[in-house]
Amino acid sequence: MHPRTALLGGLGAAAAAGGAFLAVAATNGEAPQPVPFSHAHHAGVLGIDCRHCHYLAERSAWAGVPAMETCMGCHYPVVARPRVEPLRWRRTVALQGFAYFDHSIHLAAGVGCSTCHGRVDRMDRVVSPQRMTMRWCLDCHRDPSPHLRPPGAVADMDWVPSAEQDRLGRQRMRARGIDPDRLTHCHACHR
Amino acid sequence: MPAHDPSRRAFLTGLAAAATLGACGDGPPREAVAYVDQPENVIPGKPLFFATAIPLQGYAQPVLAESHMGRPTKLEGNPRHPASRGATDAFTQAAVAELYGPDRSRAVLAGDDAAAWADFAALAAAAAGPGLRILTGTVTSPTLARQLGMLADRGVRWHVHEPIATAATVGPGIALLSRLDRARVVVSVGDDLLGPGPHQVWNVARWAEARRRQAGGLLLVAEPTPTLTGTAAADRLAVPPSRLDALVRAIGAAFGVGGTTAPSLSERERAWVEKAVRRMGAAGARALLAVGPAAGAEAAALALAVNRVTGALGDTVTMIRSPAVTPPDGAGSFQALLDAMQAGVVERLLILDSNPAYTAPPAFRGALARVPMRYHAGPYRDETARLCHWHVPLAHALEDWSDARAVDGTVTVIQPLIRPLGGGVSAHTVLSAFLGAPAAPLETVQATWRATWDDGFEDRWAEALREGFVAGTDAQTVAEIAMPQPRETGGPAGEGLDVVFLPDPSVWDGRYAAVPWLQELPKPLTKVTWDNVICLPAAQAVRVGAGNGDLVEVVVDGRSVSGAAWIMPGQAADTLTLFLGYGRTAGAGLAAGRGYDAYAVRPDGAVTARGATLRRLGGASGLAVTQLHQTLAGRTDIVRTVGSGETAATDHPTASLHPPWPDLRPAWGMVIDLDLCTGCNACVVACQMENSVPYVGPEEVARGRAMHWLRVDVYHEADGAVFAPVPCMHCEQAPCELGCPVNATVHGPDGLNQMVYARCIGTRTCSSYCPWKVRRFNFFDYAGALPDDYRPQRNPDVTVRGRGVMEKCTYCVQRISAARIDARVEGRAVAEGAVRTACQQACPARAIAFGDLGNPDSAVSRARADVRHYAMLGELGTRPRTTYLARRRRA
Repeated sequence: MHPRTALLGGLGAAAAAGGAFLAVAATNGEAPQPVPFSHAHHAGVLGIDCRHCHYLAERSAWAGVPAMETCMGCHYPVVARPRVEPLRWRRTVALQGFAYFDHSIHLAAGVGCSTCHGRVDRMDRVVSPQRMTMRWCLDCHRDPSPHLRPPGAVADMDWVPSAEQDRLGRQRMRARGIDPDRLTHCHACHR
Repeated sequence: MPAHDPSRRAFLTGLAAAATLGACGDGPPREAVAYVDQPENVIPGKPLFFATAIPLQGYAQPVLAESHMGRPTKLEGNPRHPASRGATDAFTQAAVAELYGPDRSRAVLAGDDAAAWADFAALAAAAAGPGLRILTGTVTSPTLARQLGMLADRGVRWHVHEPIATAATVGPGIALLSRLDRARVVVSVGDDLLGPGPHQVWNVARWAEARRRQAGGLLLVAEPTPTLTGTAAADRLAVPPSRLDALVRAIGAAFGVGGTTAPSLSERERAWVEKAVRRMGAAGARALLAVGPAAGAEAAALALAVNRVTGALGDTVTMIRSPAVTPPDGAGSFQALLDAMQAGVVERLLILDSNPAYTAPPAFRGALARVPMRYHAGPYRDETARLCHWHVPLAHALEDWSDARAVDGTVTVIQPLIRPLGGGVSAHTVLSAFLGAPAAPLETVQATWRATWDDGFEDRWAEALREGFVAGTDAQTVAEIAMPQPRETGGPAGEGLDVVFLPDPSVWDGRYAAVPWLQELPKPLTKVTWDNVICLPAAQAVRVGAGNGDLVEVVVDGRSVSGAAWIMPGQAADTLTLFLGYGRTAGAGLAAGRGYDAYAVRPDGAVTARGATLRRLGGASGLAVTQLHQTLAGRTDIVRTVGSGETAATDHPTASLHPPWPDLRPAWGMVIDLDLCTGCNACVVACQMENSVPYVGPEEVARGRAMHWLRVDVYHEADGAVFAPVPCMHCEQAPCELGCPVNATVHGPDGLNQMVYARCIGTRTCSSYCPWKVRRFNFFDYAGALPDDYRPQRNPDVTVRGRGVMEKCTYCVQRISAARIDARVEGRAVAEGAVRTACQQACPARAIAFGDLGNPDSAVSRARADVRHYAMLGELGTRPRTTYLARRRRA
């Protein structure tokens, strides 16, 4: 083996190990949450719409972590509510500070919750279905058509593209003014 | 390629991952903390704006304060406010940084020991009575005035000390307010109308309005030292301060007021006066004669009489009920206190938000020692605090309730955005403690307005908070007063040099010394940062053999001060300018000990002095200057001046070897009108606050490493100067984009020259390729080196730049992105005017247009169609998106 290749290989192996570690860190669904909250129960069994709790998703960059009073609205509908401390959730998805993801524009474009977050309605503990890397973001930004849903279906966990999606997706891109050339430049996500 | 052979991309990916692991400390947040109760109207991720005001020397500077989940991050002008029309000055822009300043006082002190507020309050409750005096700065706050009135009922006498006279008064409780928008000719004799101070935004906005209408002959200025007003003048006369009075008397004589004999004038002076009189006569009531404090009280009275004769009084200048409340002893208020202190009749003294131990004549310190009990309430533990028995930290304007009047008298209710960060106490709380009736500032302020408004308090209060001002509270105009009688005076011709004392354009009277962004703000005409200089005319510099930065000594009345010399083009002969606000010894943070203390040689609060001597000392002061070159190197058309109807554009080849970018909209562009720019620097600080641009300190500035994304260049001319704000040009064929080896600076579809921090490896090639030198490099971790106290001020929508990364103006891309996202969510196009860059928003002259070049009706497109339009260094063929409107010839 050429010395340079060996060096590269060694570095690559070290880096790959680092990468593997990162992959775990970025999708660390096994970290204990402060309460054993089950999305499978709330979103799946009870069928509560994502936006009931993540009420900001259509209006803000952030989807929003529900306030405790949102929980209390169902759990203590009439009886006196106990005093509570704010919950400190462990994030399952965390982007680097220089990436400015905005929920509202993705929902407005017709990208559904499950496209990025997976079948949360089947997860007791939320685990990100993939590492949210720049390449993964760009795959969609280069051609979003397979993921564009009809209005009203963005929070539908059961939505699957129909056989017509190829045509419908392109139609929706045109109708919504989505131009991949404008989705792949740096300022689309970085500032 | 064999499977085991790592590709370059895989290798780099792995390396990046390893590097990321090494830098894990500052990764994304790992926790998401839920609200218990959702606050009303808060949409996390979107800022809220609250209408409030920042007082400058007591006068409200109206703002819309931006809050990100409880953190104030930026102050925008309040566009609905009648006094400011949405603009701000540099001081107001920096107020949000001052809020977080680590040098603010944070504890009640008894001597050097921390004490409890309750102890002070108990002491204060027992202190009110005839033995107590209160010393404040200018008071415009109706609530503060009400509290002082209640204390007066208990025999407490109130005094005012303000080191810089800003409002021209013509009698007790009556102020003059210029309305430059109505003027066709403004003759200023030593009045810095457009310069820093509470009136700057009011005056510049109205001057710009007049200037848009009228190209030439608007402003004639006689002044001892160049100011922003003088540089904007059509005809500027440099005269020593001792000659200002004679000029006013000569103008007065021409209009038949004052003495009958015109004073003797030099030829140049006579020519200027004749021109001024001719123009004023032609303009009639549309003429304005403005006289500054350096000309003296007699000149001010004469000017008033002249304005009355021309009909200007009541038109271009109005007499209004002064927004500032007059203290019991009127103009002699401070002297009355000083006399009483020296006579030993002051038993207790409360100094509220004033620093007289630094700003008052030295006699004050001696007299202060004779007061048995001294209380100080102020934002810093400054020179005065250290001489007092008690010190109370005052809350910032963004931290508690208050009210204040703007220069036109309009009241703004000041509302807090955040609880006091360091335990600061409101001035109202301090006074209510002395009244023995402790009350929260909100109650105190509401009580004032409950009593003022007969009914409908709740609605009117809510409206005042929403709008940011109380409609209809602008000051009443005063039609007629007993005119002060001008007396004929003839100042004896003195030996030696004249001296002018000016407030520092960046730190004012010294009160902003602890704000590093203001310290690092280049002074408009010298571009010196972190220091004050002694301005002298070239002839004096030659005489004493001093160059820029050399130490010189000035002796006035036997007292001396030494500082760095600065040869000022346009300085009057035999005249020195000393800038107040430096030489601080306490409570000034990083600026402690920087510069010289001009108060030390200032005779009794005067704005001028005579008979000074100047000599060179050995050595030099290492000044940190941001504009180093003293020559244009033959390039005479960087800033252009045109006559009426002349075109500014020059023919240059537009061919390019590089293919053009597709024409996509919006096509962002900016046009800066050099004719309206007064060099006030508001844009520079606004940019820093919006984009979290760090300060770097004087040593780094001296190495040419200041980080301002937007700089204002100054070009001195024969009798004036031109200011050119220079942000990134966002060239369509950008040299920097070609230079970068890693594609860290690339072109966006909307025409923005994008800077990608995460890709930047710091070769600085882009900067060396940039003809305008607008790129800034993080030689060190400047942002990280700032005290943690400033972190909450950072704009959460802007990336914090680390060490080794290039940065530059982004056209406030975070604002563009926000507008784009909002428009897309609502399914519409970005509207004209929806994106306002921070510099554009702050500009009092509205000199900056920004918008979509693809829209022929946009303000920026119309500006581009102007005959005065040109591109700076356009001959390089880079097709800048930031372009300029040439200055119009002013004579």
